[in-house]
Amino acid sequence: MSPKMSETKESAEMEVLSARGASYWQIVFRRLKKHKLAIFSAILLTIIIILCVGAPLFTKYKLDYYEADDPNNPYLGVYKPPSKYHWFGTDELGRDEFTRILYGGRVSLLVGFASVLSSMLIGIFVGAWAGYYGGLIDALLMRFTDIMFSIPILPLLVVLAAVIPGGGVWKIVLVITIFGWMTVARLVRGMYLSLKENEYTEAARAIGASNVRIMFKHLLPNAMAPVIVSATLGVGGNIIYESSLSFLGFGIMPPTPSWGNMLQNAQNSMFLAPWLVWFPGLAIFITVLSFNFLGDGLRDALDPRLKI
Amino acid sequence: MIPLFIGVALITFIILSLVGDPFRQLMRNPHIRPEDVARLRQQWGFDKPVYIRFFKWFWSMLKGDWGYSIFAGGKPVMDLVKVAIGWTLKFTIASFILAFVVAVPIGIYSALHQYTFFDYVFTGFAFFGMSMPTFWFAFVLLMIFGVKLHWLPIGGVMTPGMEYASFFARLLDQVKYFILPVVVLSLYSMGSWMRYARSSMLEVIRQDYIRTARAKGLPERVVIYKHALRNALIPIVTLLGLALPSLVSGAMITETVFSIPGMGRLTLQAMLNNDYPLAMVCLLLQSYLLIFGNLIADIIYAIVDPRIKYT
Repeated sequence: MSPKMSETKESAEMEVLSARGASYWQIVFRRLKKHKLAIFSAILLTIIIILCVGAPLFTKYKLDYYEADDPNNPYLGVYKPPSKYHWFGTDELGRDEFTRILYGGRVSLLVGFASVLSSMLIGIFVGAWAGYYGGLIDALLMRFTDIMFSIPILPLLVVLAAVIPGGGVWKIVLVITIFGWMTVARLVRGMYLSLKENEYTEAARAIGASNVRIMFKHLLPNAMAPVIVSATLGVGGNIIYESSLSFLGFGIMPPTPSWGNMLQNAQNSMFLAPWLVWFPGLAIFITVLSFNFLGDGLRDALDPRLKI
Repeated sequence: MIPLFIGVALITFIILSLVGDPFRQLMRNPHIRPEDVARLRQQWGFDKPVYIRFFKWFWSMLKGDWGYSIFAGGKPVMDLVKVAIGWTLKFTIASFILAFVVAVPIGIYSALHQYTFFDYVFTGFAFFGMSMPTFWFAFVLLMIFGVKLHWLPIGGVMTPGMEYASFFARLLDQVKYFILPVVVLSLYSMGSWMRYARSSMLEVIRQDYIRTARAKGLPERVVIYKHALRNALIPIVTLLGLALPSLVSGAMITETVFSIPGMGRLTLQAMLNNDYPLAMVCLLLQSYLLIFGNLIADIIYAIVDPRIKYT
């Protein structure tokens, strides 16, 4: 098919859709499709997620597989560079780096998504409450948000990570959430301040809808655009936070792999086995970059005037 | 503003006090008698409840008495912070200048040549800078320039014995130690400022007054540099205010990787040792600079943009 033809086909499709009254999300998706990098990032992220979630299907090694040096094969054993046996090489205990990257991706992505989801929930709740009711509630909640915003995040993440016992995934999610909800709260509050003046809010109130119903059924869908963009960018940011915490020694505790603690581990063997530094870092970088491109595309597609 | 200051101090204090008192580790040591630990706790005031400690501490902070570090040889906090800020400022100011000088002109260029090849290249670079995990980038640079090529030192701030060398030899030595950390420190801000400058300029050149300037026949050069650029720079100027806290607080990760004895590393070590007096001062310094920075950004904005009026 020539490009010309596909173009006319697309515009015809658009007309049909708009004649039928394309839904908001159809319009958004159509705009997003034009953003090539965003689509490419979305596909890449899907592949990464599938690889990580289905890790046992894509690697023949088990996560707790330790390989001893093999006198007959120079490619098997401890600290072996990438080869056809170990695509990304092996680490100081003879573990397959590729396998660990896949399993580590599960942890890093889980932390990224879960912490964004929980900070979104808290942020939406605080922002909606403050923006909808206004007055004293608004003043108090927003002063609290300001205070949380002014506290340097990384040092306190370190303290919290040291205080809360355990070295698991959910601890890190909790710690990142405590300092992660403020952006969404501010965005949602700002949206609610203007949205609650709309006629449909008044109409909803006139037919006797409760405050909670108006807040979450009528107003929330209209306030979601900036939240979605900020959440997409947030997943990448939180993956970096997780890896920074792990790097400083307060994140996910080994032997559970995460991209962050694999890098921290690689620090000691930087001279001996540089591939242990390359691959986990590359995994973080590509994932975060994709989330940033996707977030950028979503912003343009949802509302080009958004400033996040 | 003042409730904000007190609130930040209170929350930071509470989170730090969750850690427990710094003498608990001593209790595990069989050579130290429990009475001695109790005496130390009483001396440092850790036997009192949190709220009393907070008020006593906050009051002495206001009086300018920043106290003594518990672990760093009992030195006054003020001295430790002064030395650390000295190092941090050298690195952060250099990286700030580098980021600003590179990012702003490129951002403006991208906006004026939107959707051209170079716009895509620079946008790609901006995203590259914003997505790079700091410590990994630092590692990679260390591996290439420090370990493989041996061009640059792999950490620290000066070659031992250089203190007494001539001024130029010392300067040359410092520059070698500065290159990698400064590049790492400036990468993220370079990327985000580039995007910032680009979107700011794009917004301005779509304005009516730019069309008017073109319509009355002004040369493109005058339109861009006189009418557009000056307006596009307004939001960028406020970056100066917003960057203030990061100048002093330093970067924990970069300073740790390159072993720079700056504020970031001091903060981290104070937290790891439960060295309250030091950790609190470091954290509060950062928070208060952040608040001040925002205030300064607002004030600069109001000065350079007469359209803005605060009521």
